[in-house]
Amino acid sequence: MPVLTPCRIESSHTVHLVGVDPVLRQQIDRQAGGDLAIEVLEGVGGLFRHLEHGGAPLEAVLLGMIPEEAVRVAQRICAQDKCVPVMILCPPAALDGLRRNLMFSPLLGREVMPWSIEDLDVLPEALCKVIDRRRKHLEYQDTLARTQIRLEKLPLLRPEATHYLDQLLDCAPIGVVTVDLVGRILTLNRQAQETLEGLARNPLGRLFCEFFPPVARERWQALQAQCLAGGASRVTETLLCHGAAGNRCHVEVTLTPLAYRTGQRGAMVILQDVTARVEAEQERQQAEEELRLHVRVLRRFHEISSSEAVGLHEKFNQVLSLGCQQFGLPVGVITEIWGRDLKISHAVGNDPAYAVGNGQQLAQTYCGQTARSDEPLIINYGGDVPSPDGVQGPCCGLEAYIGARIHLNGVVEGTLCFHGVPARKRLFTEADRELVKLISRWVGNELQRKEAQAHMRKLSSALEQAADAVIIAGRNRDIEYVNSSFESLTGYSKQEVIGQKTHVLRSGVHDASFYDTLWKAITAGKAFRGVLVNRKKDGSLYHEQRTISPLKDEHGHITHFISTGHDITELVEAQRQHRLHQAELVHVGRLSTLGEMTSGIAHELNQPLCAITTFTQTCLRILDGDTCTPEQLQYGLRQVLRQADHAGQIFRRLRNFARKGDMHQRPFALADIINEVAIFIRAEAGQNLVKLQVELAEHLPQVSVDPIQIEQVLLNLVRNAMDAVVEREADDRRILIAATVSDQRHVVVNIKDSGHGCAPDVVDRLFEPFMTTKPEGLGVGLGISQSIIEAHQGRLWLAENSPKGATFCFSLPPVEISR
Amino acid sequence: MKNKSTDPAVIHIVDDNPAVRDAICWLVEQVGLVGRKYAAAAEFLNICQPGMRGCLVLDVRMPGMSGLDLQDSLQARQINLPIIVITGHGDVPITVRAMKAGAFEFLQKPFNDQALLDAIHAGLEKYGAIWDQEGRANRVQESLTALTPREKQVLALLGHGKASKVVAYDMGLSVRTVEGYRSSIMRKLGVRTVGELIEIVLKARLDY
Repeated sequence: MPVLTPCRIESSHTVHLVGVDPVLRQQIDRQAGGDLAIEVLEGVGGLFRHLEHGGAPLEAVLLGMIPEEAVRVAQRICAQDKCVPVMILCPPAALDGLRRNLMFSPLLGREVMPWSIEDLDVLPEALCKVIDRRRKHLEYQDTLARTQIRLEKLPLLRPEATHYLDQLLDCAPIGVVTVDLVGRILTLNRQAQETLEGLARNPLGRLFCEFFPPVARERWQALQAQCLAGGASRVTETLLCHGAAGNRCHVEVTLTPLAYRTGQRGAMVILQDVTARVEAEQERQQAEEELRLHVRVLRRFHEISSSEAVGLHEKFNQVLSLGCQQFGLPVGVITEIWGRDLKISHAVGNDPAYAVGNGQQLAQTYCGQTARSDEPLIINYGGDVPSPDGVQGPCCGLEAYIGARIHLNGVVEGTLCFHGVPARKRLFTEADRELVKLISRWVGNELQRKEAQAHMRKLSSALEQAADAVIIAGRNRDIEYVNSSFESLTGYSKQEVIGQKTHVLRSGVHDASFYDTLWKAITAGKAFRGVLVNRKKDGSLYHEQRTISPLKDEHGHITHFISTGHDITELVEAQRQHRLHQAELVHVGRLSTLGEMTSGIAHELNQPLCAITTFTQTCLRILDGDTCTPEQLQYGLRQVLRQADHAGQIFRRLRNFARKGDMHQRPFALADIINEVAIFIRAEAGQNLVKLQVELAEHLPQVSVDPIQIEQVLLNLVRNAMDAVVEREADDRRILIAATVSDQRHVVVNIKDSGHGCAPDVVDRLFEPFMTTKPEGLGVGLGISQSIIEAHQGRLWLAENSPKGATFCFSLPPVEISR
Repeated sequence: MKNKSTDPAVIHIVDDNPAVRDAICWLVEQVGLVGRKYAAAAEFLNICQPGMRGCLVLDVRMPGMSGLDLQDSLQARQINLPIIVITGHGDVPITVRAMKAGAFEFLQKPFNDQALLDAIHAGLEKYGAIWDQEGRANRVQESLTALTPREKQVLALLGHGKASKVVAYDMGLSVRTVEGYRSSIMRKLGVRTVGELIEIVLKARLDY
């Protein structure tokens, strides 16, 4: 009800027009003059928005739409405000109908009336009248309401207010007590009763201070006196009292002087339970104190642990003492775990039961429990927890115990613990737990470091004593360390080489690319193993089997190179001797082969010799004759030359073959060797009426060989084949030399003959030395051949053996593999 | 009748070594002989025919058919040639076999040119007589085919050394008739005396 809406007192009247034809509006405007202000609202929508969204109250509305619509709009206006005067314009003919319609339409206020458009000239006047009437109506209503409030409602409100006030006080979360000058309680609210124990039982008239413990009583009286003396308008104090639930609580008391209308003076006491706040404050202070203590302990701990002056043993003892002092416990020990037993390694406290060296079974101590747990074990009252051996009661009589295990390289090494027979006055705190953890970790690290140092000492003394010469060089190849074996091997002293580059040992035997490869390998993080020829201080060379490996830091970066090696000069010499012997043997074998081939070679040489003799004799004959011409002699001599050349070739081959092999392997085309041997053997083959055939696959890979030796192998095998086939008829004597490439790119050479094959009892012993089936044979051919092929990382074997012939094979790795 | 001094003798050289082949060929050509070269025994065997003349210089040790085999084949074909065996190997068994098989001379490489030429000439000379005899015999044989059957009968009897009268009596002919046959035979065979006639008959091994 807009009862209390303040009424606007305005001289001018305002009418809102909705849906009024502009022509009519102009007419009305003309008629209105200064009395009536006209506002046009944008359609029905604008009107409704104005009404429903709290626009200023309308004084009057003039509707100009068709009557039915206008009635609906009027209904809607009245739903908002019944008192708004609404005029509906209509043609005179429709006036009666509209009036009737209005009469029967529900929800319409009293002030809705039709207006004929013929009577526009009097419309503004009518509107002003209606508006005035409405204003007056509102004014009456206001006055009525005000009077009503004054006369009827107000007296009823008063007792309610005092009641509310009491209720408010009772429900307030603070206690309110009024006392007189002596301190007797005059009034109090419910909260005050709840706060103070005992107030519930008829507290009125009793002294307020009775409800406090004696300590607080004096302070209260001082407070009361201070307040009532009128010194301060407000005094506040926190007092300790017994709470309602029997526990101690803190109450903040605020006293305010109070004077009643009666002239009686007193005080109002406001009570507030601040136990939580006070306790929090106390806890904070306690924590701060502990922290301070902790910091002090930590500082001391740091001093001990970083001290350079004392040894590890002393440090441990000092730390144990510090712990004892901190925890207020008499005994502190560090133990080692040996299987199921515990042994004390460090102890403070002078308790003979916990002296250094004493042992105990792990399972019967708290330390056994400690060793199984990551977190420190804390026991405040030993009697309250089951002891490790299952018997109720403190283990070993210990009531207080704090301990943590010690790790060494990830393994539980022992424990650190502090304990005492009597229980402590206060409980162990988190800080204590952290401290014992910290100390145990430190002890573990120290032990680990000690062990590592011992390990390092062992290693370095091993390095120093090692039979191998050891060099450690930095990334820049500066020598940082050499051991004594190095000194005795090279003749350089430590002082001479440390700081030098590793080049000092270079002998010049290896070329730059060799060292490049070496450094490339080790700077890539790989180890190098190989034989180096280095130079001693006195200039002599020595062979060294050397291993150089990079040392890396934890990030995998190379920091140093460590090189170990030993003198293998004697071994190299022995190997050289062996090679010489081998070469000698091979040579002997070759000469023996040559010996066997003498007849064939002689025949081969005989041919050019014969031709030479004949040509020469003929030349002489021509010279003696009378028809001698230079052309004739030229022809003869040229032939002589050719044959001499041919004989020379034969000799060269022979010499080549007979010369000593130097065992130097180099890349070679095997086809060339095979062809050479074929030429060499062809004469003998021809003599023996043997058909010698050579089939070489195209693109044979190169092999790394000593050609003389491989020639010998081939010759041995082909001559064996020859010996085999001459037992056949002349038409049936065939030897095939074929070379192919295997899957692994090895070159495989087959020597296939059409002989009778090897006898079964011979096959197994083919490669034994001095095994021969020939009356004049030495029996070294196949054995030597095999050792030659094996020295070339190849293989020689009998691939086929039947009465129709035998095939011997040997394979050689291609250059890229054998290297 | 062939004249050997006007027709130069052909020397057949069989050796697997071309240089030796060339050298021998060149040598024989220098002394006015004709050289023919063969790289293998089979090659020579292909062209040879009965009645051929000349001298064969043969290397015994060759791939394929050896010199000794060739010797055997020639014998089988009744080809008579002086064979001079040359070899690089002075091995006794081969020499013996070659000589047994009728080799004319055996030379070891390298040989003296004169020794070879001497051997060739000696061979040609010796075989020349044989070839002459063979030629005559062949000619007699040819002439004999020109004789009438009656003349052949007469010749056979005369060949036994019987006098014309005896022949005439044996054949029941007149002496004059036999005489006539005899002069006709002598004309056909080209002999002047009865002695020669008898010799021819014996040489031709006429067996009537």
